Amino acid sequence: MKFSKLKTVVLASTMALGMASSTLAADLRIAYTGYSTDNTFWIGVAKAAGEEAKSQGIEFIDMTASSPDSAAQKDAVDRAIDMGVDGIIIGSVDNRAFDASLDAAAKKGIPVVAVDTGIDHSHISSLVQTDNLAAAGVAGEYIVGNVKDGSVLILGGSAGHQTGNARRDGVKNAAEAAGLEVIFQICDWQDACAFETTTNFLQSNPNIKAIFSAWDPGALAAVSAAKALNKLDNLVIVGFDGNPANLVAIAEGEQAATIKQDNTRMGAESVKNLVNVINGKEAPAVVPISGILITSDNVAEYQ
Amino acid sequence: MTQAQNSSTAVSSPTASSNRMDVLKHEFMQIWQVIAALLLIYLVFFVLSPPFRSFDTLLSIFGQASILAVLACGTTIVLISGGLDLSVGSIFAVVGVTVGIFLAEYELPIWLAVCGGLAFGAALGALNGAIQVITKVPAFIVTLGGLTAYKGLAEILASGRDLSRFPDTFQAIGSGYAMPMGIMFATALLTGLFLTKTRLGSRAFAIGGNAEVARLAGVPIAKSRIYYYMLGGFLAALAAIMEVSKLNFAMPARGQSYELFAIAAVVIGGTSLFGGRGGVGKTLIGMLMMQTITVGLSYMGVGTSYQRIAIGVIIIMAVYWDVWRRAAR
Amino acid sequence: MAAASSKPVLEAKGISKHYGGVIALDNVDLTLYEGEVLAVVGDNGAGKSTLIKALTGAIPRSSGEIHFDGEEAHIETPTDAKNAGIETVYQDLALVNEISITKNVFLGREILRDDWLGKLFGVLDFKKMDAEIRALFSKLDVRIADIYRDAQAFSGGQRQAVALSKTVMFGKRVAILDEPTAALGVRESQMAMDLVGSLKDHGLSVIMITHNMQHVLNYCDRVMVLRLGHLSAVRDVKDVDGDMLVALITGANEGDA
Repeated sequence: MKFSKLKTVVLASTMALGMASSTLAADLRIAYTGYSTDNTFWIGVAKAAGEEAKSQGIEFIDMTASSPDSAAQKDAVDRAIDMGVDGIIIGSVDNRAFDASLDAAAKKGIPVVAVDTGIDHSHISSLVQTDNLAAAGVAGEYIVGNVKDGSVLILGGSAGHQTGNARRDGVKNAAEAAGLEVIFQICDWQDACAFETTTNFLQSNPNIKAIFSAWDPGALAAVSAAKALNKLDNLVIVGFDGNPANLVAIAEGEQAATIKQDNTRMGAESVKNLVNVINGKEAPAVVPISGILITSDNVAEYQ
Repeated sequence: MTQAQNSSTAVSSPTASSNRMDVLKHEFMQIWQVIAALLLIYLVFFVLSPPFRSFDTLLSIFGQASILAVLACGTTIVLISGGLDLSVGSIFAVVGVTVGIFLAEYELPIWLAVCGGLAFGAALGALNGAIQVITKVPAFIVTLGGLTAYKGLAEILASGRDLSRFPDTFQAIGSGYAMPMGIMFATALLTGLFLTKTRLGSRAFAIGGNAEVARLAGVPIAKSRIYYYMLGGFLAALAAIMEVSKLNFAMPARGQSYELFAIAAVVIGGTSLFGGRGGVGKTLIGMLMMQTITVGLSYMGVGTSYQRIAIGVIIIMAVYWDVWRRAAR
Repeated sequence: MAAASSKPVLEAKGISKHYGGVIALDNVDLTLYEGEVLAVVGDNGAGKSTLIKALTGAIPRSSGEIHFDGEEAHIETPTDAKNAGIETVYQDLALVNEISITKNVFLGREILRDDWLGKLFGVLDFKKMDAEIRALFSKLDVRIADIYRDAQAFSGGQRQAVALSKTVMFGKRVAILDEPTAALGVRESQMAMDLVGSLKDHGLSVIMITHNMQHVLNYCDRVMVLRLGHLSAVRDVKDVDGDMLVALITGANEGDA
């Protein structure tokens, strides 16, 4: 009968899919759900976490949805709890979704750690997160090392935004410690604002030697503005994020540097932390991860 | 074609003692293959994955399918009546945000926020139907417009607002598996009764089967259609409320592609996309089938991208099976 | 054949239907007497179906009035026609394939339960509907037992029998039939026409479109001939033969025009 043939196809294809992810014989089994699988940063986190788990001989189940979807992510966490995994890593799409799930995990005694974004719940044993202040400090040190005197223009994110403020302060602290003047302008992460602000300040203030943009596209806008005024050669422009377009600009010598979040370390550290918690060892509440400085010297490694 | 089967015309099978049991048997004959396919898929994962065997897992399949299943009950009504509503995902988003505002900002009583959300969803659905009836623009276009417009409305309503941390009683609606499952089964039962036992519901099959015959028979087509879209909007709103309660926050990005998942479940279950045939039981089974595949594959560590491929294959096979069976008859 | 009375049930005067500049029906008069079977014949495109649809409110008329029992009747929709006591079987549009015989017969006029379920939620009374259909089928000698099955499962003859039965159940005065034997085999046609003949016994006056001259001569009392949207002749059946009808239809005989 034809239908039984179809059944065989279903059976065979599901089995084939199952085999594709042959299960490791492991003592421990952990589940991971990141932001999405359509985002390069998060692909890096998942890959590093998977490799760390593999090196420790732990079964690693990646339940990340293919696009950011908080309901699917919550379902994935619930599913991991139902499966009775030994621990869960969450890189949340929206950190408000997990109250009930984390209550359930606590009840079952399944440890949960967060990566990148904190989750406000008592059952989260650890958070691995980029330290924006420290990472921007790296950018600040780079500027100080390349500019002897003059002013630094900082193109900031939105007012009162935690990430934006931390990135501003990291550069500001380093620059002021070295005796440079700091000019701060809020741009709400808007590229057009970065372009206009750069144009206005370069025209009115010949003393500006360096520009730091708290987000990479803003740095590209600053590059375009400086180019239009023919002032790019004497400027040190630094961005933040390590976007592909900026890496090209760095390779071509237009942008001086950018800071890339260290997603490899974030992935690896979150697995290490989780395993420590599972084994009853201490794990720090927050593991700050600094940024990686990318300049023309090392840009090829990241492209 | 059909004439050949009984050339003796009016002198047809006087011996047949047709009764209600025969009808039930007939309906079971139509649906048993889908049930068998569902059981088979469940069995495959049961064999392949030890953690899949737990009772919790079975509960989670029902529980996690429930929100989309409620939405798909509405889609079933609309499709049977020969309509199509692509905007239910956006109605879902806008109602979620609205209920979020009612609760988080105005701190309305829960029953009032819920009723307000349901009424709003029903109104948006009815608007979809009314625009079609009045302008005669096809359902695909009108509801495609609704898909974008309602989404925009949701974004405007939500902008600058933190819609989260709702009262505990409200969170109970969508939390855990028991309550959503209860809502899902109740919705499916009531939708099934509506379609088979009531005048308005049974007319959906006639309108979807042949609208002109129904019109000539004196059925008020336009008014009925608006009601079907209204019910679709109402059930989208109910699903949205369940999800807002489950996630404990509301945002306009929710509900994306839900209309397509709902249509997929309806099609896998065997309801015709062209109207006139189908049932809510089939839709429920279709939704459970998709959820079983999702849960089973993710238990085996297969990523969501592969899960989507598997579901895509199932959709095509389901329709192929249906077409093949009809041709064979 | 029972002699028809001379009392008109239905009178239509000056019925016209224009589609833009195209005149599908031009100033046609029609009179149906109590208890008669009136045949409407004509070539394809002569305006037969248009006339019937215009009479029953299925399409809006461009002009013309309808009198019922001597008084002007306002028939603008199919429902108006039904309320006046006119039941119509449209060609190819009689039954919905996807629903049961019961639901088809009562489509648009479903019987609701007497209790609160019926009043509040419109819950159908299948028991009552099934019983009425069985009673009707046995009265008309239509042998269809599986009234729960979808209409699609039945032969053309059976479907036509169901559609004709519907006119007996609901048509208080007039039944209008658009080619009741189209697409039927010889044997099935015979049975359908016997059923048409019995409509008279149930108090109905009948208007019937047909292409079959034998049916006109054997079952009808009068015949009206349409040609190119005009009424070209009205005759008593006893005054015509097949050749004469064909001549009127083709225009070889110009009739009264």
